[in-house]
Amino acid sequence: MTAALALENISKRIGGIHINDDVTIRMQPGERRALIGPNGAGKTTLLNMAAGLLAPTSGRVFMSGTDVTRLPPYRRARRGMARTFQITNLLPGLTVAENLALSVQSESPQRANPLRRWGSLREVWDRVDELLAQAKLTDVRDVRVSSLPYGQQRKLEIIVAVARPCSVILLDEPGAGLSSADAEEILTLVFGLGPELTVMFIDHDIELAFRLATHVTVLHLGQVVADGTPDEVRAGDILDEIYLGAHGA
Amino acid sequence: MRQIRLGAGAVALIALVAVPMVTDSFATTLVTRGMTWGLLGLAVWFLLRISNLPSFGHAAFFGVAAYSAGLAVTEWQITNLFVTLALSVLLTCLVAVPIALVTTRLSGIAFLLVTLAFAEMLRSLALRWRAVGGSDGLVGVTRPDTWPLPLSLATPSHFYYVVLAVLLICAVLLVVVIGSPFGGVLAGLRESEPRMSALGYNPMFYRVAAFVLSAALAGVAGVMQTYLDRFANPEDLGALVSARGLLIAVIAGASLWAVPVTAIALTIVEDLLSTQTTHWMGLIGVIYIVVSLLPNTSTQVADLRRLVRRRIARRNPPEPRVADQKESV
Repeated sequence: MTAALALENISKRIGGIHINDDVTIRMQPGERRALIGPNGAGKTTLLNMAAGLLAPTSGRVFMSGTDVTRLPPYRRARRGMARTFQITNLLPGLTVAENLALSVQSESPQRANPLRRWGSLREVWDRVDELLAQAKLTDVRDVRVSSLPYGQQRKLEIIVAVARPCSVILLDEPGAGLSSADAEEILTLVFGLGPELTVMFIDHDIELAFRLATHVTVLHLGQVVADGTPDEVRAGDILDEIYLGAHGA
Repeated sequence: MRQIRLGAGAVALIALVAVPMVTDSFATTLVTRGMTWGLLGLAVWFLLRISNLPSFGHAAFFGVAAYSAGLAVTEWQITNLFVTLALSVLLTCLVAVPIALVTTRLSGIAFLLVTLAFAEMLRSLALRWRAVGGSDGLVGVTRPDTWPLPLSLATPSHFYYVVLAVLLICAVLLVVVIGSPFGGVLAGLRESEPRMSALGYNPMFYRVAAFVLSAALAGVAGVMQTYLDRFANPEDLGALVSARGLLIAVIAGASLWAVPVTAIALTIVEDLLSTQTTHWMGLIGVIYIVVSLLPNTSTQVADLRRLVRRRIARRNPPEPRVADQKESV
């Protein structure tokens, strides 16, 4: 089966430092892969290369068999890639509904119409209201995002990311700053979006990652040191070694 | 609040329509000049407020259109205002596209300086290009006809009303664009380019489009200024013109409608001071600095409104919805 997302021999070097070194990850459609590892392991850099925000020094990125290594983020998004950021990245000066509308309308032929009233895109705003109701955010529909509590911002970021058609979603620490229960709620929300949705997520809550992921990749010093199902990875000593500092000693 | 705004707008519009009826031709021409600066201010304001791009080079587009409008009449024998306007704006857009492709990759001070550099390059070209009059400028420009409208631009009041109509059309056009899906995307890009890119929007396309639209507006201002003065010169491409546009945009703050008002007010103040003292430019500089340093009135009003709404909401919390009640049960 063609991988929904494949990172082939990805390396990233900045100056003399290897951020990532020869990383290969192949994700099948519907796979939920947790990317774990201590700080500085190169997880976010790898995610940014998958999303097109950073160019790899060497290696290739494929989406459903198509080489997208040279495509900018917006073209990967049009091919069905969605993402969230480590630090919440919404549009703080716009309202909750406007943030969602920009996601929903991104596939509409009217998205760049300069002469039509924005509010007249009925199908867009109806969908926005539907999504807000599903996420129980209707009460804050017209609130500026900068005024939202942090938890609601994290939740909104996920909904904004998946409000447009996507087959692959990259989540960079979706539970950062949230309690384990809230983080689990957010991840469960994403996993409930459909069995075909391929999810790669970074999380520092190891227990949560092992419980929710179908596959786990452990990164350490930019390299893959373990890869497999949660049970396979847990069976080895690698986690104790890298988190307790014994690895490579 | 909406009624107050509409009322103020209606009063301002009535006052503007009445100017040629209640003043002499000198004052009419002075306000006409203020309105052309208002057009330039709108161009810079749009880019600054909607795309967060502070241009210090809009004189490039003002000047290119000014020369085009002059050449259309003197060299290309085009005698209709609407044709010369369309042609000049088209040429301005053609100049703006390559400049936009370079400058919209930048932001902040870098954007400001590179736009200034482009305008200075064009000014230098105009100074040396004998075919367009070199440092003497383009002389012998006559005002074109306004067919099919039964107006004569030689009459100050007619010219005034044409500029007023153009100003209103451009302002309404901007209101429409800002309130459109395209305007929403521009607002999104102003807030976070990586987020918009992750949603499938090509940031470059939208920034270039906004830049060219803004340049076209500056071009409209340049055309009107040339026919007002019957003259185009290299200083139309100079930094002082760019600075004027940027200052009007900064002083006007967040309100689009404050832009033409600011431009007209500054033009009148400049004229009044210049008749009182030879040091009027120094005084104008002080006014610019003081007004620019004042907190933005329209932003403060908006903040105050939000604060009042929040207080009211806190005192009268919304009734729990039926759905919430069911859930809690």
